[in-house]
Amino acid sequence: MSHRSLKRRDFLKRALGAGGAVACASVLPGRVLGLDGQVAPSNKIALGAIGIQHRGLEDLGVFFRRPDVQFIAICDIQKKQRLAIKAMADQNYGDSACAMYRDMNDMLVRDDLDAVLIATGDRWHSMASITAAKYGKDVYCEKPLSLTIDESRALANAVNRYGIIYQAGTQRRNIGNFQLAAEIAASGKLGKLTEVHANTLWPATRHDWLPAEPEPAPDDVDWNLWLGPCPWRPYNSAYVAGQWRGHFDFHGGGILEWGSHTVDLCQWAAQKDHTAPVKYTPQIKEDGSMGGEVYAWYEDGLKLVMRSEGWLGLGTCSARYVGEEGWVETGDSGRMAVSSDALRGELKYFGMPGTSPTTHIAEFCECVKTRRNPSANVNVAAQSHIASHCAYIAWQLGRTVEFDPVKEEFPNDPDANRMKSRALRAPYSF
Amino acid sequence: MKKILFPLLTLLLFAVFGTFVSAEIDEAKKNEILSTTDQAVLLEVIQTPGATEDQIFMKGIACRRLAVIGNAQAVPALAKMLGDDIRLSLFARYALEMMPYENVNPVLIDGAKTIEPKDQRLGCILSLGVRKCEAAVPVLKEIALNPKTTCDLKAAYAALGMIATDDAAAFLLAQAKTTPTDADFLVRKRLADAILDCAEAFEKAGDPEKAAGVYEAVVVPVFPTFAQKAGAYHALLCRQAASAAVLVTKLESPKECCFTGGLKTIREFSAEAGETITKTCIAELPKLPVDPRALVIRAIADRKDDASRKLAFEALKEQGKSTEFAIQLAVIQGMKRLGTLDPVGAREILSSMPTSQFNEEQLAALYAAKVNTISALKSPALDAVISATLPTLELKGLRACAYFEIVGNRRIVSMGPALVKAARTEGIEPAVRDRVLEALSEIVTLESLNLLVEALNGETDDAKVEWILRSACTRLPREDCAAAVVKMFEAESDPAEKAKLLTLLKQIGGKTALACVVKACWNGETADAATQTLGTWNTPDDALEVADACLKLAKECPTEKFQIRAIRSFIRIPRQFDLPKEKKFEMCRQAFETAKRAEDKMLVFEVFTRVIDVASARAAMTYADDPAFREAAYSAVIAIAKKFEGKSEEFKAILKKVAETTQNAETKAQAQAISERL
Repeated sequence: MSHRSLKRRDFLKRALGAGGAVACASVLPGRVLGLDGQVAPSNKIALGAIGIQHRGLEDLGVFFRRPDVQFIAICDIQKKQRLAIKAMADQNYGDSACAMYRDMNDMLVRDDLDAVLIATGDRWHSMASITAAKYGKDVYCEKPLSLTIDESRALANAVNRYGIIYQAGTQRRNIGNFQLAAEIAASGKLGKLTEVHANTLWPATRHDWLPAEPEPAPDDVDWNLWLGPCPWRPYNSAYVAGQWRGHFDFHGGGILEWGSHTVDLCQWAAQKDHTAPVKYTPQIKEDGSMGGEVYAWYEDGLKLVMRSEGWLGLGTCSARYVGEEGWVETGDSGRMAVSSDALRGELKYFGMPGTSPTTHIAEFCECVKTRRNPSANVNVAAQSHIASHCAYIAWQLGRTVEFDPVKEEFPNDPDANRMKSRALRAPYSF
Repeated sequence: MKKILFPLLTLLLFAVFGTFVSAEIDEAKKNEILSTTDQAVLLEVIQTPGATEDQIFMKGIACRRLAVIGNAQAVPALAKMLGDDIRLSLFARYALEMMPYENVNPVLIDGAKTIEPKDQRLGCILSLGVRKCEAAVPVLKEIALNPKTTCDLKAAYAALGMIATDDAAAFLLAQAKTTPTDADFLVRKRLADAILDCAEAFEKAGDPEKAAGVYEAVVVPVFPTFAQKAGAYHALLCRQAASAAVLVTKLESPKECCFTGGLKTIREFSAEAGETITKTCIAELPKLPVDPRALVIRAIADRKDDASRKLAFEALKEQGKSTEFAIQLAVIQGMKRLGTLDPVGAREILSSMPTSQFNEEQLAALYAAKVNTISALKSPALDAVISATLPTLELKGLRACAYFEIVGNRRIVSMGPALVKAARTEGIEPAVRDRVLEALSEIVTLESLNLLVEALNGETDDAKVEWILRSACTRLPREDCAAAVVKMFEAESDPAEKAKLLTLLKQIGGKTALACVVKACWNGETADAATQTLGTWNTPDDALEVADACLKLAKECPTEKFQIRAIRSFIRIPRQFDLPKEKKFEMCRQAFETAKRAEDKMLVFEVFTRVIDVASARAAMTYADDPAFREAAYSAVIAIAKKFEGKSEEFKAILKKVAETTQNAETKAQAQAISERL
């Protein structure tokens, strides 16, 4: 295993031997300093990655292009992915220094690693983030960040405990049209906010196993590590290729799938980042069947509507903010719609799709250097995830549930409380 | 109605059943387990001997169900599974961990003490932690003192940390004192984490002094650096203003972990401690080298309390005199957060900062930061100050670019004529002209839209022109703006340019824009672009008009290619837009009758699959009489049924008919399986 030698550690050693404390501080590591765009090797954020496919590749491409980042290690339970990412990194930097790991602990223990990009399947997001936090590494993690309410809280606790920088991959907080829509909602130009609408997907998950296939050698695909904290089930290559989505053990359902973005946007626009709705009611149609929508209410009466239908066609992951005097809606196309020509005057053309992680990653890197909490920090992300989990619990129960966002429990509702968490496979724990 | 529905709706606890299952799994049994409210059914499943894969699956879903509906009588049966096959042991914990009954903890304690297989035993230990079982503390201490394996030791520490009683904390702190520095790294790491867990519990319980003491217990060499950093960081925050002196030592420390830990706390001290902490940091600034100083400047500018903000504003003003690049950048960025205190003053400070000594890249970074900051400063008075600067501005270089970007971002409407004049100035640098045009697009009014268009004359970069026009049209009154663009469209002779304007009209939306596009669909020169534009029209208010236009084109357009495009565009309307379901079904019928090709007719079935109710299934079945479309109709019915969550005799009858008449074995199996649920 080759470790890229980052000069900043050498500088530190020299500095520590040099005496005067204040004088020594001028050779603090690069990621703490150097915000000028001219980045010496000693000033770079040393980045590793865990579980890179699909969306992770888009994120990694952005990190590769940043002059203030040096990608030094890949961890993946699949050999072919380890090799593929190493090849990309080595080509990017023109060397062969990118190290490969199967077990994240072996990578995270490295002193010269500053931060990690986590883009595994959802089942591993919180466990990998918590593990990284407990090694003091900063984290950029794709969403959804958790599968349960308790997992969301455990993640926030670990990140706060170790004082690391954590950016959830809810990149729309750094995309112009979403920022402007939230600003319009918060500015009072819509009048008093009465409803916020989040674009979500059909809530259900499935309970079945794909047919068993012979398990590969652990070095090729480590199925035990792939499952991680989740219950055992027989191997099937489709899971590893991405078809874990929708399975209850690995996925939090369609509300969370997009709600991790759009409920988050609604909480942000309504300035409810610190809390979650107190009541959730699933849609029950006239014929008694379940619809895919869930309605929720915050303590002050503001209504949150989680729905998949009836959007204006402004792109995926749309959000709509409705006030007593008007509304604004926007989505991944970058376009915005408003209720009146007067509000139209507030709009701006951005031309950047909502799926781009570029500006969000830029903010993360800036925060790694300055130690400022980023916009999609763990505390706001945990709240919007908890709101999405509550909505799914209400939908699964097929009835209204009430929630105490301070105690993070459902008062006098044992059924709902028993759905706040899932036991983890030993030896995993949060 | 909810009371009536409750028994039905409880069946939805774990709702959707997928189509891929192992061959051995009994689908009907699975559905019974997932939906039963009878604990006896579940206990029978978990008590059946055996651990074949299908048994593990069934026992797994039974345990999940017990996790929600199981009562205390289920505990003994689950307890027996704890020491079983590791795959089953987890499922037992899955149920037990969330159960609020008194008889759960004793079985987990017993499991932690007596179960032989390691992972099963560890599971019990960890579940005791999750359940915060205080009664388990003596057992966990015993396990930690005499661990069967290192994993037991780590698990016991983790559980004790989660339980976090005084007794647990005292034990962990004692362990910290006796653990050698060369002990297993992961054990030391886990012990530190458990102590931090306890400290947090004390802090949460309202005893910050006690918590601080426990946090500090982690700041010893036996623990990893990152754990020490966490302990020091929280100890500082626990003691609030009293931490000021310690904070100084952190900021002056040559150690990365000390400096960054201290830096992070600056933003996080309470409002009450704000003034003391900010004063301390400001006093420290002159002693710090450039880069750490820049970071502290940013941190104090992020503080939210008024006292800190006022102090920080003055400090930044002073620091703004620095000729160091890093300090200037920090001051400019800090002013964005503090500038609301005195926007005009902030702008003057930023303008007067010395810049001559910087290279081009540094200047670009500084100007970009200035644009960002000045654009965000809220004050109408500032607009007048900015306007007054224009006469002295040279129309070249970064400064001019930044200036016009600010004008656009702040939307200083009164500067419209001045911008038009600037854009026409001979010798203006191209980059500056671009910024002028962009600024103009942000402030142009309907009346002056023609000025923008005129200013764009001769511009050869199509993307730039499109961006600027879109930018303007995004915020102008819709119908009026569309009318202006329609005029431009009519005056344009180049088909490529006309196509771009059609796209722009779609972005604007509304009746005027739509009328122009529809008209263009019938013109041979523009029909290709116009039918494409119509097919992606996305203003819901116009949905029915778009549908009418598409249907007419599909029926009467002389070009087959456009007929096909039109019918597909027509079907998109009921598929994508929120219309009454009866209207959607009627449109499907129209589409089916009008479409000439089978593949286009097939598209109507996708519309049905997006309306999840019996009426939709009924409507889809009306197409099943035609053998060519029967299986497609059946597939649509199955897709609807999979998402349908109620009970319906009519739907059941529809599925029965599907099962009886389909030629597809999978469709038949699915229809039968879902029918049992309805």
